[in-house]
Formats: sequence, C-alpha cells, structure tokens
Amino acid sequence: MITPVITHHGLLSCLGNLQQTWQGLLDRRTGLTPLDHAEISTWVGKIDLQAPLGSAQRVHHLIEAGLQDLPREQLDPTCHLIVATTKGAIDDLNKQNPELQSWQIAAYLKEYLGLQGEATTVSAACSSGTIGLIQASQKICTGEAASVLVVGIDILSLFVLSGFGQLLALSETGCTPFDRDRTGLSLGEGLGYMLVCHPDLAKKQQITPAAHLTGWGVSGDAGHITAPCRKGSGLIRVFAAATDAGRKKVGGINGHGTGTVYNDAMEITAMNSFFTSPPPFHSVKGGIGHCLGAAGVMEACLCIPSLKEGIIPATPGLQSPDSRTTMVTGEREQPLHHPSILSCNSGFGGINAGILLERTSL
Amino acid sequence: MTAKLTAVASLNLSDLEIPAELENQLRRADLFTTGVVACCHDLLKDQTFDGEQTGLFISTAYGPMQCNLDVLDALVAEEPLSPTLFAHSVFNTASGYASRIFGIHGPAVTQTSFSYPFFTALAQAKFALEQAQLTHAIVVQAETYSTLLEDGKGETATPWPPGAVAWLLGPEGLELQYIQVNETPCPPLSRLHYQATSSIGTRHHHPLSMGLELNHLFTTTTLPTRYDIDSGFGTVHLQFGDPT
Repeated sequence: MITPVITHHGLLSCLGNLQQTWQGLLDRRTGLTPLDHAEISTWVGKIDLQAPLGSAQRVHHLIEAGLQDLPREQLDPTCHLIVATTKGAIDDLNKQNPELQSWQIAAYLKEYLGLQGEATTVSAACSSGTIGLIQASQKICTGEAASVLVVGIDILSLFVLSGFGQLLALSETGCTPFDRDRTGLSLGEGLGYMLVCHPDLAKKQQITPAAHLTGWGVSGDAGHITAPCRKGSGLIRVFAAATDAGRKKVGGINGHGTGTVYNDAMEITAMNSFFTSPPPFHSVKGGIGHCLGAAGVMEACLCIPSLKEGIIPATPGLQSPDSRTTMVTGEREQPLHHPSILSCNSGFGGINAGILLERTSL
Repeated sequence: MTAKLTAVASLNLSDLEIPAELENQLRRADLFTTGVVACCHDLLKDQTFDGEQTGLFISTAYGPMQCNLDVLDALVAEEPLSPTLFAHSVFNTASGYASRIFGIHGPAVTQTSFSYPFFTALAQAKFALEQAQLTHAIVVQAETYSTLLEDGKGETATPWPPGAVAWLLGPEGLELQYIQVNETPCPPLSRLHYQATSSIGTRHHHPLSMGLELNHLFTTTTLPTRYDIDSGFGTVHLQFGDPT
C-alpha cells in the first residue's frame, strides 16, 4: 500500500505566512478585526491585499502573495493540480467578462505555474480543501499521478458576508470556537498549498517529507442543506474511515470549529461518540477566521508544525469550554498523544471530510 | 471493486415535469438542484443499492450560475437577500439535496470543470469504487446556464440545452476499464464556443453533449469499446469491456 507524502506546503492568512500564523496561534493571538462595512457588523480575518472585496484583482493578489514561497522549479511539469474553492471573485460575476470565478481559477493557476497535468476544481463548500487533499492522495495511490499540487483559495466578498449574515451565522464580536457562549463564525480569507507526492518521487528528489497522509474519509449527512446532523453521523463515519475503524492512533484533532452553535455541538458529539477518550482538539478559526474552501488546505498546513513540535495550539477566542468537552485546548497548547493529527471539515450540503497526517520518522 | 456501468439517465430541463413524489422536497430548489435530483430519480427508480456504501459525484461546467447572479442582483439593488437563495448558490447544495432524498451516506462531492465535467467526475467515481468501501457510485452532470452565459456566447453560437446526465456504476453491467481526461490550456472563448469531436464522428457543441450521446448509444444500440474525444481544450479516452 502506497502512503502519499507531503513534500512542500505553505499558506497565507491574516496572521501572515505559515511561520507567522503558527507563531500567532502559539501566542493565542487573533488576526480578526472589525469589518468596516455599514451593512454588516462582524469581525473578519482580512489580509492586506489592496484590492476590493470579492474582486478578481483580490484573487490575483492573493495568488501572487500566497504562492511566493512555492519552489516552482521543483514542481514536476506533469504534476496534477487540484484547486479547492467556493466562490472565487464572486462580487465580479455580473461584470463584463468576469475573471477568476470559481470554475476559472484552476485553468489560470495551471498556466501561471506552467503545469501540464490535469487541473480540476473541487467545489464541496467548506470541505473543499480537505477533499482536494483526499483526491490528491487517491491519484498517488492509483498511480495516476506522481505528484499533485493542491491549492485552497478563497477571498472575502460581500456576497458571502451578506449570505452568512442573512443566515444569522456571523459573530458580531469575533468567533469563539467550542466556547459555551459562542455566537457564530468569523469569515476569513487565505491561500494554502500542499504538494502531495508518491514516496518514491520524494526519495528520488532527496526530499524528506514533512508528513505522511495515512488515512482519509468523506461522508454525507444526507440531512439538512445548511445545518449539520445533530448526532454527527457523517463526521463519525469520517473518523471511522480515516482511522481504519479506530485502529490508527490519533494524537490530536484539528476540528472544523467554526464557532456556530450547531457545528461545534455536532463535532463535540461526534468526538465523544467515536473516541473512548478523545484526544486534544482545537480550532484555528478564532485566529484566522473561516477561510471556506481554502480552510482544509490551510489547516492541514498548520498540522505540519504541530506534528513537528508535538503540540496542538490553543484555540484563540476560547474562554469557557463547552461543558461536554474535556480535551479542547483553550488557555494553552497541549501535547499530542501520538505523532498524528486528524484534520476535519464539514460544509453546506451535509458534507464531512477528514485526513490523518502522521509525522515522518526522523 | 471494478467499476461497471449499470444504468444511465438523461434529462432535458426545458420540458421537465417534476415527479409528484419530489414536488414537496424540491419546492424551494433552484433549477440546477432540480436537474440533479430529477435525473438521479430517473436513474435510480428500478435500482437497488445500499446508501451507506454509495457515493455521489456531481460535476458541472457552470453550476447554479443564475442563482449566483440573483444573489448579486439583490445585493446591487440593496434588497434583502434570501438566506435560501444564498444557500442554493453554493455548488454543493445539489449534492446535499440528492444525498438526503436518496439516502446516500458515502462521499457526496461536487467538482467543476470547464472542459469535460462529466468525465472528470466519472474518473473520480471510478477511483472511489476501486479504492473505497463503496458498492455503487452515482455520477451526474447538470448544466442550467444563465443570461450571462447566453450574452457571452453571442447570437451566432449554437444554443446549449439545459439538462442533466447521470450514470450508476456498480458491481454489474458494462465494465468501465479505463478513463483518462487530459485538459490543455486554451483561451476562454474557445471553451464558450464549445467544439469537440468524438471518435464515432459526432461534433459536440456543449459540455453536456457527450454524456447525452453515450446515454443514447447505451439505451438504443451498444457503447463502442473505445470512445475518444478531442478538442482544443484537451482529450478524453474511455475504454469499456464486456458486459456481465
């Protein structure tokens, strides 16, 4: 059985690049700021991109800044590309010749990076990034590709801010995931990339992988369109698939942890149902916001330093953990119980997805 | 598990009559979701499958674009935005509807591809059947189009019919031995003025056309062992084996 490896990874969030974002999480710092917009009262994880919200120009700037650290010269030209996104430059959709819409970003990036392999887009709402990484792993395992670059990208837009506002899902004061007094989510923006490779390719290129991708699962709730299954049935199936029915050890969990009442309750229920003794878990969204289709890739990137240092950071914003949680990280980081992290996301349409990342033996 | 083509369904959204048993469940759905669900309903009506071990792979070139434009119109006009309209603008919403209505608990994934949406999803479904603990996979492509797309194509372009195609892959049927999709970069207008040719000589003018052709062959005669597509934006190669 082939185990795909991660050879390169990076991100850009409102806290900065991967190293800066990681340090921000360790410092329990938040990059969320109040949104300066008359109609919407909320906090967001906004990057200084010098372009209007929801615009193609903003997507352009994010791509240039977010892929700065990607060593393009090391990319195999036949590398496949998977883009995970929800909306792209959605506020520009009704303009003449709209660019960088969700269905156009993959073709643009393929040309931008000079790649020749297949380029596809996953549009599975907030699980898009995690599903993109799963699809990449499947391509490696079946031999369809030797390397797959997964790019998760989403920007802040008035479209999405207004939509979540109408769903009464936005926190007015900044999200506080897994807190008993949580009031809603905070939207963010960002880009994350991961190069998933066949282990033989990494060896040939003399690259020590950052992590192994040892398990994954995707499952639908088959329930409500915007609300998760209250029993966490879909997420429980993901846990079972990603851990081979509990046979693989999980040292910590990066939860979806949006800060909405129903999502966080669903995750806590699922964790308590599946694990006899749940490992420590956290959410990064109090620090960088909910980056939608990019979230899965960005959060997987943050699992790498977590694995390296053997800790799971605190959850920014968390003050009083929900009474049903025993292992949620709040005040400070906690040690991983095992050198592995399960990173999960759930989204509209009742979709749930998770990947199990394990530290490379040193 | 080897992927085998068990059943197919096609749907023209212009003359769709929503089945009575779906009317209540689709009362708020937009045309894109309606197309996905109605086509799945037709596909699955005589089929037996275990929802716990079935995956749903939806693909589209443009998704619920009109719904997205309607949200933007409301924002521009500073009108109250309907939460339902926003929820339906998300590309994955149709998979949520279909998985709920048909009790599908496996992966329910939506992909967008400008060039060969159906075949991209078909390749993904084949992977999933071979890799995961699935017994069935449903592959659906739906296209609804919009005023924006019509404007972009111009008056001289061949009209694109809104509709959907669906395949059920399972343990019985015609073996899908091989599928390869190769997309190549090309100018956006080349995709809008869709021009592709299949190995049996048919010229295709819209992204739903190839799925419709294969469904027609499957239901009226027989599928060719090899089916290839060539266009300015890439190629597709399919190979079928013997029916079981």
